[in-house]
Amino acid sequence: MHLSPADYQAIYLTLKLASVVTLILLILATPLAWWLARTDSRAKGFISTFVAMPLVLPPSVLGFYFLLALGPNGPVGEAVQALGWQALPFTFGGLVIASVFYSLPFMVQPLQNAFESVGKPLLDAAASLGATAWHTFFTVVAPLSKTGFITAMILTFVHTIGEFGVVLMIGGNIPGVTRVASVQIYDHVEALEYSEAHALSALMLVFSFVVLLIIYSLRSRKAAES
Amino acid sequence: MMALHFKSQRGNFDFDVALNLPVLGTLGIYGPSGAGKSTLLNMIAGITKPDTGYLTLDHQALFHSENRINTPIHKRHIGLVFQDSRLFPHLTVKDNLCYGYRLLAPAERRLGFAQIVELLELTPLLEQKPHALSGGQKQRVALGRALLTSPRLLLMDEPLASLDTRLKQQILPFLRRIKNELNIPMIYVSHAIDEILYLTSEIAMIDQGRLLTQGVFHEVMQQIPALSLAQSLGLENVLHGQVQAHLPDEGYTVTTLGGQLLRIPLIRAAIGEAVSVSIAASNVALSRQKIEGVTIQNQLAGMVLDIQTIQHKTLVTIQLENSNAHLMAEVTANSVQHLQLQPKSKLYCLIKTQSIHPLAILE
Repeated sequence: MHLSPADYQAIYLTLKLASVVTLILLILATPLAWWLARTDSRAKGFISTFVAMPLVLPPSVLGFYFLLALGPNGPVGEAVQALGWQALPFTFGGLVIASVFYSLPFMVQPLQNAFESVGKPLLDAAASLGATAWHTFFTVVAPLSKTGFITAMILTFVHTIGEFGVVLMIGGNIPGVTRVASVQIYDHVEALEYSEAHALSALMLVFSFVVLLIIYSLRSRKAAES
Repeated sequence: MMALHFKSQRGNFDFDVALNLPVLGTLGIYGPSGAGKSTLLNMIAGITKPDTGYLTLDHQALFHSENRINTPIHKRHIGLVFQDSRLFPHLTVKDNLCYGYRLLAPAERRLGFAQIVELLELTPLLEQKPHALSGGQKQRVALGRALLTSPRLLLMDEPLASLDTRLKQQILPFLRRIKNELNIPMIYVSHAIDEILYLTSEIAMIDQGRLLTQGVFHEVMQQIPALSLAQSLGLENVLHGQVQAHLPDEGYTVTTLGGQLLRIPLIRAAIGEAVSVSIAASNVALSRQKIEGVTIQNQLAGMVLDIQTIQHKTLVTIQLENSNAHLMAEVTANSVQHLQLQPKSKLYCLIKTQSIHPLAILE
């Protein structure tokens, strides 16, 4: 199997994007999932729907609105320009922001499920022993949600690797900046370079299969434990 | 000292309970399932917020709806033991025990780790994970974990309800040890009156979200509402005696109860050891004279204190001779008339050995 330097560059960029997005989502989605798991607020339904939107929306729709919002005439774009920063569309930063939203449900939902399955009784028990909500989260909830964290991180990582529509809309196709592996495959096919497209596609296929296999074996092991 | 008044409306369940305890020792809260016992406990602990009311513990307001005081659970220093032990499944017994202990400043630790481990006989379990423990062992760990937070009040919500009789008999002595050795006020919730009476005679009775009555058990039992509730739940007497002798060939153990002998089913206990037994009121028969030539081996002399009739049943409260122990017998109104029973009548309580249940046995 032959991969060109451009292919390696695309793979490197893809892995970098997926790592950054997974890390950012881990920090942002954990408190959000914790809030969703615990709250009785009426806003819960609204927020849950918002989080789940990327699951049903065509990525191009999401990308289109990001393009408008982040563009020079969009609300975010104007603010960014007022601060003297570079406009976000067609940059790695813009890609990261769009990907964070695109992969949000893949981080939030497994975490929320894991947090909910810990159950209020154990939280009450920890509180009665003098633990603050923070302490309970780090000593009881997080350790008991280990599998949830692993699943959420892997799904987010893999899903970010697999995105295409959002990337194309907001990131375009700039080598080394926004040309990730899925876009590179598209380029190869457009140029009728089928063997090159094959190499990269097969790599992603095997990678996705192995990763999902890990998740499912983790889950069945956890089910066997409990 | 504890004073509280909680009001809350949840759907059709209307809860309104006030309690005033100038001295907080061991209090049993007794009532049928769904009466609001757990609700009361959860409100004291801070898990459930009442709509209105107040809670004062040792002159400190922990909850006051008008003054907008609601101390969070983790700042109340109230220990909790639940029916389901709620141990942390990912931690060893030792780490479960130390969970609250580590959160305490050393100066606030009134009970030591070694002391509690020894008291509850937990040493062999320390390295185990909760899933490897039996139900009884889990409850002992849960008790130890709550005690190690040096609580100013220990709340126990049906801690024995999920255990079978044999395990109950094994845990009860530990509860009494806690009461006798640690000097921590306790509130013990149960729908089993024998469990409560084993620990304390101070009880509060709750039914349908209301406090029916509060006080010493045999006094409370003079009141019709308390009595009718107790009757519907199955009325049990609890007597505390001392082991006198074992007669294995005849299948019983002889105990003494204020100078009178009570034969109970054979148990394993040292001579002189204290033993508690429960006897259902319906298993006590009455006679004006001592009867010769019957199979009933226990005939305890006593004097009628009180006679109450509720529905078609009559309950006779008897003070046993040479003892301050009380015994209740459930008889028919007809037999009361026939025996011409009235307060101060002398009589004998007839109890079959096999109808007596030892309450707590240490193996």
